[in-house]
Amino acid sequence: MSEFGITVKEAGEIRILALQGYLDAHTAPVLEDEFTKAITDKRFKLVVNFADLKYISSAGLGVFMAYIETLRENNGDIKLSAMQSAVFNIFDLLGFPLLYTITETDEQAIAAFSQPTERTES
Amino acid sequence: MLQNKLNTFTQNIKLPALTVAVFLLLGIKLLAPAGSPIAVDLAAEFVSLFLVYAVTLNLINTLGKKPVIPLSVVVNIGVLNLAVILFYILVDWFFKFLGYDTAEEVLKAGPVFIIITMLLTVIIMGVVAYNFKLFKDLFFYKQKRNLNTYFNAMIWFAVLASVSAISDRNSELSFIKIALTVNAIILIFINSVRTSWIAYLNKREKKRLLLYSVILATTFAANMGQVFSESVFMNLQNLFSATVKHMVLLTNVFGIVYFTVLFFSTLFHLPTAEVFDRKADEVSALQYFSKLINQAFDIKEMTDTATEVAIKMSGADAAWLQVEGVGNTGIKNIAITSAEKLGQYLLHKSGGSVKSAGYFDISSFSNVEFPGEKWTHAAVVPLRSHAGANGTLFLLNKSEVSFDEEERKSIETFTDYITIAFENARLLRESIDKERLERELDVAREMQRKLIPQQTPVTEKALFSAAFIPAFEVGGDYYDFFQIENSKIGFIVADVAGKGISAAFVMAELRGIFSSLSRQYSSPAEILCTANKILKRTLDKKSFVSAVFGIVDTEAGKVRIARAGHPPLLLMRNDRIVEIAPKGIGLGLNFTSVFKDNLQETEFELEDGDVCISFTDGVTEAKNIDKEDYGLDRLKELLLNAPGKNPESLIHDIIEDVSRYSQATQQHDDITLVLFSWNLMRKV
Repeated sequence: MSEFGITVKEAGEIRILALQGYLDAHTAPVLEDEFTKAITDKRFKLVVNFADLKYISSAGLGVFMAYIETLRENNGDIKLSAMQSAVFNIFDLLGFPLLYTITETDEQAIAAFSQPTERTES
Repeated sequence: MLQNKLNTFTQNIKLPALTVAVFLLLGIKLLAPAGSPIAVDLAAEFVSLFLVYAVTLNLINTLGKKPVIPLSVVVNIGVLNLAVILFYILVDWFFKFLGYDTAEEVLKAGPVFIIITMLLTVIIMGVVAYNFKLFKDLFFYKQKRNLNTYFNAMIWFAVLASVSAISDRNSELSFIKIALTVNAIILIFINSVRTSWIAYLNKREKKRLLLYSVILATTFAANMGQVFSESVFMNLQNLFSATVKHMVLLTNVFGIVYFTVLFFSTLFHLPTAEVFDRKADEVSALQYFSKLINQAFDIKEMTDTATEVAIKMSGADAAWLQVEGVGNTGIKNIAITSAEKLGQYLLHKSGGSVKSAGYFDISSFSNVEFPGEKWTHAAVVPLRSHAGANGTLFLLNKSEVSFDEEERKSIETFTDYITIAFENARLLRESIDKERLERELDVAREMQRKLIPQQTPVTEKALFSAAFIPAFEVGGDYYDFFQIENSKIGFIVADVAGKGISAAFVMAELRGIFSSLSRQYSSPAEILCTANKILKRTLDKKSFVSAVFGIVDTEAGKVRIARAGHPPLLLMRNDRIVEIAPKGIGLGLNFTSVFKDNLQETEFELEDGDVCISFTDGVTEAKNIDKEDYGLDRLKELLLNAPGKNPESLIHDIIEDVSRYSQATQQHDDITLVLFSWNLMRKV
């Protein structure tokens, strides 16, 4: 389970990361690097597209946890889109929908950036 | 054998013994000057002989510990024997100054002069001994085979010839001396061809040796001349100790012969000296190679050695290595910035990447970019291992011709060595990392094993059973049971995110937290909330825990449970399965009121025959050969269709089914099951 890739697109000031393959402890560093790069490039508004992601492990989930604070502190966020049902179930079971915006399409995710945030986040 | 015995005997001769011998000799000479009966003379000669032998061995033992450098030995011999010439001249002048023209006059002049002569003779003996020691050093330098035979034979004949010098008195017997001397001289010739130590010198040293051997041969010839001259000192020697004089003679013969032979040997070595040197360098390259391999832990040292040797082998004037991930290292004799510039230029000239060794003329480029340096030619050699190119060796020279055929071969061979050394270092690093990881896992596994409970609770009506199958890379599952008050049993099933030691640490923490909280609070939701607060301090940003915490009241037959991001609890009742899944997000994901606000607690009553099943996602996410999940539905079906409804047999069936399902794939996550049944009347 070590095939993993990320395609990067820009939509204005929002960067879209499309994940492909398997995100686990071995491949997590690739995503970490990408997040770090986004912060260096001052791109704090990110949409992560899960359409081609087949599997995510707890290590993969942890990567989001590690960077979300920094991005939100800089008026940004990570919005998640286009999850396949199996992957969504993993997020859902843990309660991620209460903490992150999870949409079906990239456009919805991008639109969500213009909406005011409703909940208090730490 | 006899030789060894004699050696050990004389090795132990300390100064006192020598002094005694000297005085003995002195005594004899004082009492019985020249012309005494043969017996006395012979006795004196033997004492002299003994003295020389003893002094020689002493010298060998005291000075013999230091390593022998042939050229220095030659210089020592030269200095010694040149000093001897000077010594002779001085002594002669001394006697002339005192007004003595012949040896007889001196000896008749009184005991004082006998003592003086004695001293001079002892000095000469010392010289002979020291010469002998030095010759021996040269002779046996790096000799593998035992060449003692000829050398020893020569010594014996020399000794015998010297002793027989006494027979000079009786002209009839003098043939003995002549015969022995001739034999000794023949052996000297035979031994003087042992000049193999020349091979260990480089070309420059060989040229110096030519000069030295001329000087030394001449010196020994001069000393020889002295022996045959009619100088006072020489005659004194003769009268005093014919043996010693003969030894001096033979020493000089040896010196003349040996150094003449040496001169011609060296002369014939010269034309091939340069090639010889290069071949020797190639061989020593193998030694450098083993040095490189041993520097596997220090890349900096390795690259320094690599470029140093590359220069030696190729006659280059400057060198550096470009290593993937490191940059330019091991830079010798050129500035960093120049190396960078040239590196880029040469890379460009090689067509963007270096696939094979290339040799370029860089004189025009150098004249423009580095006017003072005068670089003319460059060699660019890739370091290519099985894993692909991982570096390049650059060599520069300032000579008119490019690197020749021989040099190119050397360079390319040596570059292979460098590549191997690098590969070796890399593999070593990898294997160390891997081993460290293995060790970490071992520790984590051990920790996990210790934290998991050894027994499951058994009460009158509630019967617990659990199964725990860890994955190879410790996955972070944890479960435990707590006795709360008299009739309540708390249980927790948790899944710590992450693997290995960090997960194991969190497990240990959870155990502490839950065991103390379960004593303080009676509400599972409150316990989880408090646990979340406590974990805020210690949990890593990336870590989180999913958990189900339940309290079974075995008296009242009630269950209170709260669930934090964990798979649901299953309740099997009357051939149906209900999912008990109160709301709740995982621990460690949020430390604000969001956690509490979204955490629900559920209470339900137990009915006779109920079975509750709690599990971790290692069960439902077990994969078959097509990478499909085992899934919750399959689990439910198995439970409903299982023949026996007691926890133990159910667990057995689940494990068996999951194992069969996922036999083709490796288990990636820990598998944990905690079941309990509720029976009002249990068959004990």
